[in-house]
Amino acid sequence: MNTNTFILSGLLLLLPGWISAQEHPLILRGSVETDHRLMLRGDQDWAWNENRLDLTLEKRVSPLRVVGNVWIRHLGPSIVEGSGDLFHKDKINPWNLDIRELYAEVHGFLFEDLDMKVGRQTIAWGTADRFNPTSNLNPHDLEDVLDFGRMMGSDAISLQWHFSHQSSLQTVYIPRFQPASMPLRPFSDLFAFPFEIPDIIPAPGTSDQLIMPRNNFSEGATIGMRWRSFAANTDYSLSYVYGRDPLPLPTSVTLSINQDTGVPHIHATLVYPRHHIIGADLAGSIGRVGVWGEMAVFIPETELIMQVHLPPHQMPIPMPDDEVILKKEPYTKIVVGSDYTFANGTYMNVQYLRGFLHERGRDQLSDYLILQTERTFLQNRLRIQPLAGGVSISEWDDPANHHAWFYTPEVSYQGIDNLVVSIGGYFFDGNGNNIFAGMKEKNMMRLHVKASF
Amino acid sequence: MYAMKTMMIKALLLLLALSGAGELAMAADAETILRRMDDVVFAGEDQKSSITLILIDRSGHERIREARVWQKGVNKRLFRFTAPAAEAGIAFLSLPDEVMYLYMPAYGRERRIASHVKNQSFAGTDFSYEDLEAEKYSKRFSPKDLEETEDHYIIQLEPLPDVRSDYSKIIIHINKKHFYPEKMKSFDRGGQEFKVAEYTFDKKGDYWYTKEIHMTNLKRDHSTRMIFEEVAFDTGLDDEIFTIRNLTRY
Repeated sequence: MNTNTFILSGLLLLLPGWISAQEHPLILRGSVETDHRLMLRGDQDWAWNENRLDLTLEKRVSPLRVVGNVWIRHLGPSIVEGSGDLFHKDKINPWNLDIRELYAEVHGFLFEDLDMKVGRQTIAWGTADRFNPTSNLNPHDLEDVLDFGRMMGSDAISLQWHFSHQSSLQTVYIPRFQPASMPLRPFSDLFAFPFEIPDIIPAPGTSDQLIMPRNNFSEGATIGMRWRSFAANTDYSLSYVYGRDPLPLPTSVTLSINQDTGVPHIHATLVYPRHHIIGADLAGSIGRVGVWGEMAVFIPETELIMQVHLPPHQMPIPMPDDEVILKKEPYTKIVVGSDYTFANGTYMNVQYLRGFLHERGRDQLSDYLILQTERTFLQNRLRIQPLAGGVSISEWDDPANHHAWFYTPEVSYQGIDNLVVSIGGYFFDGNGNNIFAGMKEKNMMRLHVKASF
Repeated sequence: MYAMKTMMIKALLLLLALSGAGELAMAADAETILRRMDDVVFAGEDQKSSITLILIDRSGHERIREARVWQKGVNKRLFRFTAPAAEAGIAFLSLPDEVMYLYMPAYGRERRIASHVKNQSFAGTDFSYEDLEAEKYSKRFSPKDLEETEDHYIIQLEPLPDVRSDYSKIIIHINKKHFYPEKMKSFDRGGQEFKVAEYTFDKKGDYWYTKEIHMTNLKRDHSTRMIFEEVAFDTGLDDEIFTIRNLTRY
C-alpha cells in the first residue's frame, strides 16, 4: 500500500460522515517565516536562507476532524551550475513542498472512548523538553539540525482508548519505513560515520548504498503502544516500540585504489537496524518546581559488524579490522529535567541527557547538560534568552579532549500582534568525537521573522 | 478518643482567651461574608463564556486577546485562546491539587506545568495564573479584619499557612446587598500595594456573574480589561471537557 492509497483509504472510510454536516467552518491558519543565518568565520557565507509558508487547513464535522499541514518553501541559494540551468526557475530559486501532516481524526470511533487518527501525522511521546528518547515513531527531521526535536510526519493509524479521564492506551501502526532526513549544509557531514584509513592513503572519494527494508507488512512496519496515566500527582507513561533506527549504520566498507591513478575510493553499505524500545516517562512537581524524567531502553535485534573489504586483485595495504558497530546488548538513554520561574520573572529550564539522538550502544553515549533561561519584558513583547546552551562530555576519562559547549542566546520582539522578530546566535566549541565539537567552525548569527495569520 | 476531644476543647478555650472574644466574633463575620462572596463568584454547577482581554499600556495603546473559558465546580477550568492568530489554540487546563497543563499547538502535545508559574503574568495580561486559579477564596485565605461602610463590607485576607500565594494580603470591598466583590487591592510579599481589580457584575437568571474585571498593575502602569460575554450557567458541561484528551484537541 503506497502513501497515497493509505491516506485515501482513511479519508474514504470517513467521507460519508464528513459530507453529512457542515456545522463548523473551514479553518485556515498558519504563518509566513523568513530565516537567515550568516556564518561568522571564513568569508561570512550564508549558512541558511529559508522562506516558509506554513499552512494548516482544518475542517471539523463532529466527531470527525480533518487536518492538513504543508510547508511551501524557498530554501537555500541558487543551484545553477551552467548556463542551461538559467532556463530552470526551480534551480534559480529552489523550492519544495513538504506535506507535514494530512490526517483524519475521529473522537469516539466505534466506541465513545476510542479515538482514531489515520493518515500522515506526528506522534509526540515523552515529557521532556524537545529531547525525547521515548519518541521513536516518527523519523527525525534533521534537515535543519539546529531545530532540535523536529520530526517528520509518518503515515500511520493510531487508536487511543481512554479508560478514564486520566488513563489511556494508544496503539500505533506505521506500515512502511521512512528514514530520517539528513542535515543540509553546512552541517551535512555531522552524522557521517567515522572510518579511519591508513595514513599512507590520501583522502579518498566516497560512495555508499542504502539497503532499505522491503516495503511490505512485516519488514518496513513500525508498531508502538503507550499506556498513560496519573498517580500521586504525577503524570506517567510506559511505552514500547518495535521498529527500525531511522539513522543508517554501515555494515560493510570496501576500500579500493585505482591501479592506474592511485586514487583511493571508499564504498560503504548502510542498513537501518531493527530494535525494540521500552520507554517510561513522568512529569510532576516537587514543591513549586517542575520536574520530569524520561528513559528509553534500546534493545538491538542483531549485532552489527562493519566488515572491511579489499577487492580481489587489489594491491595489499594495511587495513583496519572488522568492527562491531552495534552490540546486541541493551543501552539506555535518559533525560531528567526541571524548571522554575523566579520571583523576578526569570524562567529557568535545566535538563541532563545521557545519549543524543544519533548515539547508539552503551559505550557510545555522551552526557549533556542543557540550560535555558528566559525573561520577558514589556508585557511579553520583548523576550530575552541570555543564557541558553549547554555542555557535553563524551569521554569522562579524558574530558579535556572530549568535551564541547554551545551557546545560543536570542532576543525576540513582538512589536505588533502576530509578528515576531528574533535575532540570535549559535556558538560552538569543543574537542573530540562530539556532535557539538563538530560544529565548532560554524558559529553563526540568525535573523528570524514570523508573521502568523 | 475521649481524651483527644478533651484536649481539643481545652485548646479552643485557650485560643479564645488569648485572642479576645470580640476579635473572634469579627473574624467569624468576615468568614461568613467571604463564604457568601464565594457563593456568588462561584455560582452555578458550571459556567462557560467568551472573554475579551484588552491590554492597555501607559500610552493608552491597546492589544486585544480573545478566549473561551469553561468551568465546572470550583476547581476545574479550561481556558483556550481564539485570537490573535499567533496565540490561537494555546490552552490552559487547571485541575484540583494545583495540577495544570499548557497546550501549545506548535508542539502538538500538552505540557505539565508546576505551580512556580502562579506569580507570572498570564499571556502578557495583568492577571497572574494565581488570579485565574479556580479555587474559592475561603479555601485559600483567612479573613483578618472587617470594616463596614454604607455600601460595602471591607475585609482583609491573608493566605492560609499551607497555601502558597504571592500576595501578602488582599483587601476586598464586597457589595453589602448582593455579596459580589467590587474592588480588590492586592499587596506583594513586601507589603506594597501593586494590583487593583475593579469588578462589574450583572445578573443572569438566578446568578450574578462577572461582566468585567479591570485589573491595574500599579508597578507597571499597565492594565487589562477582562470582559465576559455569552455567559451561560448550568449547561451540564461534561467532565470530559476538563481532560488532556480534550485539551489537545485543537
